[in-house]
Amino acid sequence: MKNKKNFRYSVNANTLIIGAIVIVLLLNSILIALNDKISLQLDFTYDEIFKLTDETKEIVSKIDEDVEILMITDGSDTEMYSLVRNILDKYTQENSKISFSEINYVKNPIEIKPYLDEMPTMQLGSLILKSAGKHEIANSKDFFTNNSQSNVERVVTGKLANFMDEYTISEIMLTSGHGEAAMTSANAIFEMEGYKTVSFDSLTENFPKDANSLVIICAPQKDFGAEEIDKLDKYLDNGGNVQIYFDPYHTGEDLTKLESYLAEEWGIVRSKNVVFDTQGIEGSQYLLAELGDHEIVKPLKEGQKRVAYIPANPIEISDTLPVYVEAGALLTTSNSAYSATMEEITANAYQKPSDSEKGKINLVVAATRKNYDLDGKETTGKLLVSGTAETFNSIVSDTRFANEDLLLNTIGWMKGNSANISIRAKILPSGQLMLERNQFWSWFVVLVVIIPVLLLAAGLTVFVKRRYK
Amino acid sequence: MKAIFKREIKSYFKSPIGYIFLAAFMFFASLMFVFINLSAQTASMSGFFQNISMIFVFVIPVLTMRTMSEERKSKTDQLLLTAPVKITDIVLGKFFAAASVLLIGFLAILSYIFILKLYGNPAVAEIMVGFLGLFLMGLLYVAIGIFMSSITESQVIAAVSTFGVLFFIWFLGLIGLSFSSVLTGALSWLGKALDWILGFISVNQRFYDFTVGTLNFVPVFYFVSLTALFIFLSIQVVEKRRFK
Repeated sequence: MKNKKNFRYSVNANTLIIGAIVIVLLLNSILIALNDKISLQLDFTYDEIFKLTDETKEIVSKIDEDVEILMITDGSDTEMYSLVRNILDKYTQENSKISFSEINYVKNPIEIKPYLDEMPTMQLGSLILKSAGKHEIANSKDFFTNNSQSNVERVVTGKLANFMDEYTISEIMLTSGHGEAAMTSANAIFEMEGYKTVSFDSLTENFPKDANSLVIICAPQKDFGAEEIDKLDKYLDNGGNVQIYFDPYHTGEDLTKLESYLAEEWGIVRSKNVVFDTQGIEGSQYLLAELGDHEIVKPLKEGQKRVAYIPANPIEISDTLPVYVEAGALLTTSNSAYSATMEEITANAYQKPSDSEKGKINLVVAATRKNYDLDGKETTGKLLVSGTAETFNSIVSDTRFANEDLLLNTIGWMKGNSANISIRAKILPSGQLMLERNQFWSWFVVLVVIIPVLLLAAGLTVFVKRRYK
Repeated sequence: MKAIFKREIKSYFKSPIGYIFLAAFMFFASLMFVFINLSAQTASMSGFFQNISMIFVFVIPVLTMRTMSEERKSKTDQLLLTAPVKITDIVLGKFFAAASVLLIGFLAILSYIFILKLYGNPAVAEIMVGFLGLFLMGLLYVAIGIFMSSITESQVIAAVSTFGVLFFIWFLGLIGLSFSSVLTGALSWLGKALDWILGFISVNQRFYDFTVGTLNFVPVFYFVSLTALFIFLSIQVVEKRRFK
């Protein structure tokens, strides 16, 4: 009887235990499977690095062909893989057409061999994106900046967009043949944004026919010929977009024709003086620009972002603009700025020459010009002139300032914001502490020595009291 | 349950166990904090969270080793089992008491946020998510410790076996074992299934989301459900003994 009771109890108890284990495993399995389909995650990171932006969601939702994303790994599990994996999971959850898997290059070298030629060096964590016979490579060296920022979403979305017709790569044409400066920092951003940069010689080649293109003339050292100016003008008449950055330290031949064209046809005058602002940024080589009222800088103004510049040529807007031309300043100096020639400034040991007046000076100007053909069809050419190239080149990589946003906003404005991707880098969970050596040791002593010793002493007291009670 | 809880809490601080646990916990946690954060001058605590789970492997057995086994050894379990209290209340009372001691340690290490605030600009919400995950993981380890303590009457065996189990589930996440890369072809399903099981058992993999500042419902449920499961298993073990 007792044995029977024991047996029944054992069966019941074991059934309960097995049932509980099965239920826990089952519920967890369901949740894990569900998590592959929909995000069950709340992102508390400072910059929501694991949450896709609305722009990415829009692009991802339009993907209707299967996209396979492969991450190249060495079989280990690093923090970078986890971070990238976590972000890519959000893409697969957003659209079931996107799949993600990892490939161990040590065990499957043949599988990734066809793509290695496109990678200057084999970078672990890089992604191969394949869709409808096409492929894209996302190099992991572009994923993170030196300033602890993540570009993973930006790069991946840009690559995915390249599979879609409406987001195909837009070209940015960089003129050559006039000693133009290289746009190294800006080029890196163009690449991430999905733009293709093409160099062209405006003397021997034509300006692009596509009015949606963009031509950049970066710090020319030689003047443009009359024929080139004519081609430039026609391109703008057809609704083209041009950005011209001058070099304030330019010592080559005068850019007479280019400057005359700007002054006569656009009412924009480049001064040969150099701007100096007495309100610089403490401990920095950069100066802080003031944002104008133009629509390009409106989002920066609202976001209270700062744009930096280095000494530049003043860019003046004529009081009487040519017909159909409208111009406005994007960036200006503070009221404490003055301009003078480099000779005057060096002669005055970088102090303000007595005859120059302090005041607000334009640094970057944007203008539009309407043109009507014989049928009355209206086209609008857009022009941006900057007194220095660095505002749109070297400073764009300095994430303390919003120069990168400014550059991308100017491109967005010129292209009418059509099908452009503008996902910015996101701040990774980090941050610097400012702690002196003696402060570190003070905390070390308090946290690692004093508190544990006090607790141990309390324990010892209790032990002794109990023992000799 | 309240009476059991009070009795257990008192016993932690009327014996050196509670103090030893807190001292060890504070010592190791602070050591990691000063070297991972203060010495490296970083306000991000993800590195700290990724390493602190190791401390639990060593200190939680100290906290839980005596919970059930001491009652058996000193025969006080017979008094408890015949008293008009439910087994569930006994186990829960002991669990909450151990969890409260753990919470005291947690409240102490929360002070790290204020130290970071003094010298930088930490992302507090992100860090709080990490602490929440750590606490949930701590609760699971406590539940495992109580279960191990319930199946033996030796405190030493309870501590060593808890350490063994915790070390095993902690170590699994570290070695990144992959069966699917070994079992290929017709056995690939087995490889995937084993990988899934390994991933499921690996607490560190579940904890990862918390360390990077994301609150994922899946690991939250994982920790809560497994904690509940081990408490349930402990109740069943004690129940079985009462029945016998």
